[in-house]
Amino acid sequence: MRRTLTLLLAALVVLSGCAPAAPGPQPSDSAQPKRGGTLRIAMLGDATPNPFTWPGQLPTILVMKTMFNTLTKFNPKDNSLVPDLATEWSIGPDGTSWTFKLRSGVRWHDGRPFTAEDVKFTTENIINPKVNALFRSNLAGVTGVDVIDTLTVRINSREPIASLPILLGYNIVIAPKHLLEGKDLNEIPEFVANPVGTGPFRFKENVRGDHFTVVANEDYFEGRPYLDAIVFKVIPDLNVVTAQLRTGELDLAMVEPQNRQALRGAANLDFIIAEEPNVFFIALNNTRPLFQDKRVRQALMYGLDRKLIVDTILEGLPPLATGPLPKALGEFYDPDLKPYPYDPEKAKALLAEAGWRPGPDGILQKDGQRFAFELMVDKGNPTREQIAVTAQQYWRRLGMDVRLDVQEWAVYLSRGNKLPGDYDARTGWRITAPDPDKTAEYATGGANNHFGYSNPEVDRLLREGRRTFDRQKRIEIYRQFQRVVYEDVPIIWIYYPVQILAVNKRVRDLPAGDLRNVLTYMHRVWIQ
Amino acid sequence: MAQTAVSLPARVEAAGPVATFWRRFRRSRLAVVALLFLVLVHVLGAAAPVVAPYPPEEVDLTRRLAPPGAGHWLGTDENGRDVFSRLIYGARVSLLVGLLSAVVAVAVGTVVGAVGGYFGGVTDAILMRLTDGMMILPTFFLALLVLAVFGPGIINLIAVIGLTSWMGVARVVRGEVLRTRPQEFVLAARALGAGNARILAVHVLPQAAPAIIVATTLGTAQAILTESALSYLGLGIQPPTPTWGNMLASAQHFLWVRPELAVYPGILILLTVLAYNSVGDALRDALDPFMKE
Repeated sequence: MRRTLTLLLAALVVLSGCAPAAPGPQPSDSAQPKRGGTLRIAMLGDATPNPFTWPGQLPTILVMKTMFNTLTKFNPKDNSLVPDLATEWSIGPDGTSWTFKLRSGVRWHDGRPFTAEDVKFTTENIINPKVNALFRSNLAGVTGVDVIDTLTVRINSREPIASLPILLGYNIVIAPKHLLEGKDLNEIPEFVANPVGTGPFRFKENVRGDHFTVVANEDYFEGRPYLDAIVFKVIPDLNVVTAQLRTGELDLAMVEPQNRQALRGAANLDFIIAEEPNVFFIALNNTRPLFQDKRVRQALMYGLDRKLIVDTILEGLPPLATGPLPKALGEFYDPDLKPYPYDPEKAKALLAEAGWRPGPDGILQKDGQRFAFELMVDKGNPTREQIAVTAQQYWRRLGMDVRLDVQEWAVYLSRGNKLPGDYDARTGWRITAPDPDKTAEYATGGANNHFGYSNPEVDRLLREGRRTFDRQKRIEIYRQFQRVVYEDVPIIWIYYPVQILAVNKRVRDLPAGDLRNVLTYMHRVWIQ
Repeated sequence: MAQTAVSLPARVEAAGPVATFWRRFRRSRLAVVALLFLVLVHVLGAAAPVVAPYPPEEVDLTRRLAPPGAGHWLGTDENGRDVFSRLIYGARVSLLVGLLSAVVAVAVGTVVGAVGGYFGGVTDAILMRLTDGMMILPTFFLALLVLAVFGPGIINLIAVIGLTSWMGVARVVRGEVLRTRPQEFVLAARALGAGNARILAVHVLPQAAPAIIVATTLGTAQAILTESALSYLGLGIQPPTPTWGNMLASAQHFLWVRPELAVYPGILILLTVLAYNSVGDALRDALDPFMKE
């Protein structure tokens, strides 16, 4: 697919004699965009459009992207930052504030003008501890917002935050102050039942368990969308999604590798394979005595054939992971580091060096303790269960007694995200803003450091990175960070997930990229 | 007895209760086929370590979702594990859980029914209200709840299924005991000085044996179904240990790619439950003392 795209792109460049227009929509044929039509997208659960707490997470994120705007957003092609509600931004003299110029003439769906007050209201409520804001960690360190004039805001922070404009583009949607002021933002039933945003589509109806519909906003600041409406169909079963993609009852859906296999040969479909700023891993609880020795963690890395997992279970689509930063982060990713190879002999040697010897039952022992641990995985996702089962088998071959602990999603989350986590080892993934700052995960006591990793050198580098504005210096800091963490192997990185989007061929000018970004460009999409 | 002599020449002189039973049982062709099938499945399950060509948990990612072929008779699953081996090992777990849960249910049901029916009065009233109470509970959801709280596992599974399905047995056994208790041989035993425990165990319960045997057989079928459903929902036996239910659950993700992965365990569940039910029906007929020849 990627090759086809490249070829198409190349053909287009040759034919038209110019480069495709930014920000990177799919190469369109010569046909003129046409107005009208309804696009149908699948989502696995119900959406509840609360712009602070985001209940339901992914489904809510998907629908919100079409109805609301953020200050900045990302070009799906390369994750670079582009303007949205803010047109330009600049750093203050001492580095602890950013000033954003806002777009003029933007109106809320109810006709009221959008102003700097809305930005102040939204931002200050996200950092308000009384509000259970899902994306508060994006704004860690932000202290408040000053309104300079109706279309200018200054966002202040305790310390310099070099990547604040990037973090603001990641799900920090601006909500209307005039409708929400004075309410308990954790529970806003009237707003959820009739959300009002600034986005290219406005709310029409939400039939729980069935669909969520948005319709074109005639007054959108970039012009009326070509589409009349987008229907998000609630379909919890991927087999049904597959069937509806084949029959043309769905135009766009995220699918799993095994569904792609099932859809191969469907003449009405194209696939978009998009990199995400995401890492899939098996976390080792560094606070457990078993995993405190670096050599043991390295042995687990050498002893797992991760490349085979990627090539088979994931059909070779995602890149094999090297370390903590995904390839989607471009220059920040250190290309000189190579993924740990599969080398069971080396793994056994490292374990022997660390003092683990086979016991009478064939299981490794040290000071009378058996090498036994539980690997927790969430129930029901075939890809993740297959990876867990495979890891169990490979680590058994090293002489470890590994038991699978398959848990309900809620239990998995609550045990898995405690600090430190209530597990020996667990599968996990972390999708973030396209920003290299990994303080939350790898710094001592970080909000998402459930695996209890702690290295003073890493703490220093991460602090340094957050306050460094010079891009070249930042790149060097984060590459150094990757080298240190790579050596420590706090967790077993397996791959950098990609998204597989199945798209009906009648959909035109859909940007190729992460669905979350793609959905912020739906006003340019049209149906043939 | 002339007809019997034709078909069973060697046993004609010894046409005792067993022969009579067998003669009645095999009148149902379906039941005989079902019995043969059950024997086959149980033998395969019991002999799994010898019969299975591969260890059931052996992952081989280079041979994922392979079609049936020489190396793997029924192909491989999404982890490259041999489907045939997993079905045989799965039979082990499914049948073991099915049988043991039925045994638990029958034991509890027999005690409750026998004690209630024999002693009558307040004891009977209390035990039967308990039975009614259990009957009105939606037991499948109760089982889901209990497993969610106490965690899945083979012992929990057997206990939960057994302890939520004894009520029918209790009713049947109580009926048999009520019928037997006023009969002369029971009165005679009592006149000779036998205690309650002895009368129940030696004189009354054997009369209920046919009913208990039938209940065990039908109960096993029900328990296998329940186990499959619980494992399908992820609350039964945990991966990587195979059972028919969890094989069905993981196969559903590959319905478009390898639909037969769901068909194999599905057919085995269907046939096993059907076989237990038809054997149970035939047993009921063959063991019924009132049935005319």
